[in-house]
Amino acid sequence: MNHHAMKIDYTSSPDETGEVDPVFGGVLHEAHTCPNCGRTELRKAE
Amino acid sequence: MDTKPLFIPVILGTTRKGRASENVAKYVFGEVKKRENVETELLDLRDMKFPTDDAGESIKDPQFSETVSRADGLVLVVPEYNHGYPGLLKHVLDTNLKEYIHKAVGVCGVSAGGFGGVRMIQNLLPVLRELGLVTIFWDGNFSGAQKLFNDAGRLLDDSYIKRIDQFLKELIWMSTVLRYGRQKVSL
Repeated sequence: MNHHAMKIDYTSSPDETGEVDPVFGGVLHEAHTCPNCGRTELRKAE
Repeated sequence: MDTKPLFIPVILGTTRKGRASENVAKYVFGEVKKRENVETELLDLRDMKFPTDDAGESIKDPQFSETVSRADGLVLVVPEYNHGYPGLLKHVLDTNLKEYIHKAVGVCGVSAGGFGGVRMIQNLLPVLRELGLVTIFWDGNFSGAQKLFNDAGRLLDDSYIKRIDQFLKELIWMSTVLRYGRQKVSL
């Protein structure tokens, strides 16, 4: 998978409160696209 | 480089009865279909049923999401309503997110008056940007839309041919570059 973008999710649930990045104010997600099929998935940034 | 055809669907962004945008969408769809190595579909908001007692990704429609997920670019055909875009379009767009990231989008504005939806486009751009889409710097501006097509839906003003040709050239270029970037260029 190719990691090509970071995206902030501002609509995080209470369960994700601890995962809110203090700099960006939301939960950071990584966008990964498969170089073969082209599908993109979002994963929470580590 | 990935040589499979680009997939660039055209989305008709209003359900209003008597919508002039329908002729515009069909015209633009026809022009996209002519492009070599580009596949397309015409997606009509009228054919989509989204609940109004919830919003966002929790009301994602699997078929619409799958289509956008496959897309390399989008054409949005959108009328200007009170200087803005239709609320229903926003409601539908908001049901996806990852499906849009680093994909190209071009907007064709439609108006009854003389400005071709420019105010709507200026209001829509920040929304598209936040969704992760990459907007091109060419627009389609279809003004006086009620009189632009004959009863059979044929375009009566040939000046749009060259404008939409340029619009699609830019959109196809951006779609191609971004597909390569999504697949091969790491952050």
